[in-house]
Amino acid sequence: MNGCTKSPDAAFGFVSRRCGARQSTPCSSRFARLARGTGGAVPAREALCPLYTALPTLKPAAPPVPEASCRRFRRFVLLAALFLVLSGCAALPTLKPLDPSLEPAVLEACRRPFLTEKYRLVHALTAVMPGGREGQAIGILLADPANRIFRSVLMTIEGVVLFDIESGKVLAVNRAVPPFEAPAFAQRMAEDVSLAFFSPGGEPLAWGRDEGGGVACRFARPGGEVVDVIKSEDGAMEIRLYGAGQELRKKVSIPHLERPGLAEELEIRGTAWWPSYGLRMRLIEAEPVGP
Amino acid sequence: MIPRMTGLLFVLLLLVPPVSIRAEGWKGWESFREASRRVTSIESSFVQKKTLSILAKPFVSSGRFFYQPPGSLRWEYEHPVRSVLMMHDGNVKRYLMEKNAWREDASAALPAMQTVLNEIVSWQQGRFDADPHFQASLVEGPEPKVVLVPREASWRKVIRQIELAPSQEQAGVIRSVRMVEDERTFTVLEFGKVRLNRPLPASLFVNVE
Repeated sequence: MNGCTKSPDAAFGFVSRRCGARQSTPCSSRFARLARGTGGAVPAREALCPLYTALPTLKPAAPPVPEASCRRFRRFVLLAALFLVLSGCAALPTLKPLDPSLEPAVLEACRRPFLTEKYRLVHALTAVMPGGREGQAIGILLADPANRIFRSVLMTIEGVVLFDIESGKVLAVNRAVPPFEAPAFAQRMAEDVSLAFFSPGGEPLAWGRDEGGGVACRFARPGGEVVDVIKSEDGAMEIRLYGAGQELRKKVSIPHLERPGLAEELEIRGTAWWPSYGLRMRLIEAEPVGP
Repeated sequence: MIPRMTGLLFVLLLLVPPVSIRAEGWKGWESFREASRRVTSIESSFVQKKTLSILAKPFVSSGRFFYQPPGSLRWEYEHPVRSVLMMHDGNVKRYLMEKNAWREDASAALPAMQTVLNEIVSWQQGRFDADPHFQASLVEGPEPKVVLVPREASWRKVIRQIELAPSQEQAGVIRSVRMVEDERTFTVLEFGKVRLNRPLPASLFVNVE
């Protein structure tokens, strides 16, 4: 409408890895600043009524626009801007561009949290439920990252199997003792496993510096979901799952990662679920499994 | 029903060391009742081996067990996960070790543990034949064992049977417990270093440390 075309990657708040360092443009930053509440030096009238300020240029012979119409339009744009500001709370964090020569190292860092071969893992699990209640269990995971399939068993410390699922073309529940029999629980557990142990994809949509100062890669997932893999300056790693509405749904935190794919400790926290939950995992055994 | 059942199944495992039977002298429930009356305390270590089709080898846990009539019990896992379940004066508490600190488990399963305390008392008194949840039978032979089969079909979905094997060497002691869930899923508990009838401090059943 003002002769500017906003690039899709900038609109989504990330930098395409193929674009390298993107420079801000007068066209690109106005709405971004407005949406994030950091308007800076953009004149209010120009910001709120861009179409009207452009009209004289586009249609020099057009009659003057009535002030009432402009007020209504301003009100509309103000509401739209407010919507943008509010929806900005659920926007993906911006990835700032980095020197392109850093790309191999950043992508390598982003691959480290995930399994690269078939493994059998045994974890001590502590589930944190609403109200801070905690329960402990043993989790056994047989994961095949190449085919993105797994089997997972949850049992009490005393050895009673509570839950047993197997992912393949469909998610099969071999056993589910109440309160684990709800289908949503199986889906949630499958999503947790995939998020924490399987790479979200080969090539990221974008990479750069995260708002927290770490380096990050952004991957697209089916259904409009997005996964960010972030390595902080202190070496801690985080995997974030954003929903199609760009809301943060889950977060996997790995405080230390010495062996690729084999975090000694990790925590999965569901942020968009209600009730929310947390799952702390401590690795007890890790054994590669032949093909 | 099933959460209670899960709790009960667990407690059945807890019950085993107090079961005091003399392998050679086993004459049925009466002999068990008689033997159990002579037990004033039990201390033992245990090794638990869980066999699952997903595992290449059994998953091994270990810990210690303490029991003192009429209803004090401490079931402590030391490796690889630290956890303590205590019962004393009808109160049940469970603690979990995480990051070198004990945290009390306030999960919904705990009230179920309270419920099954009555079951514990019943078993300690040797009332296998009166158990409403399990049908007990004795398998004779060189290595006799008590076989407990759930009475209700809903229970049998979770567990097929429990087998209690008395020690041949140490009278009044259960050597092992085998809890069978299906053909390829079972748990074996083996008790060792059993010491009977030593005075145990009450704090053992109240304080986690």
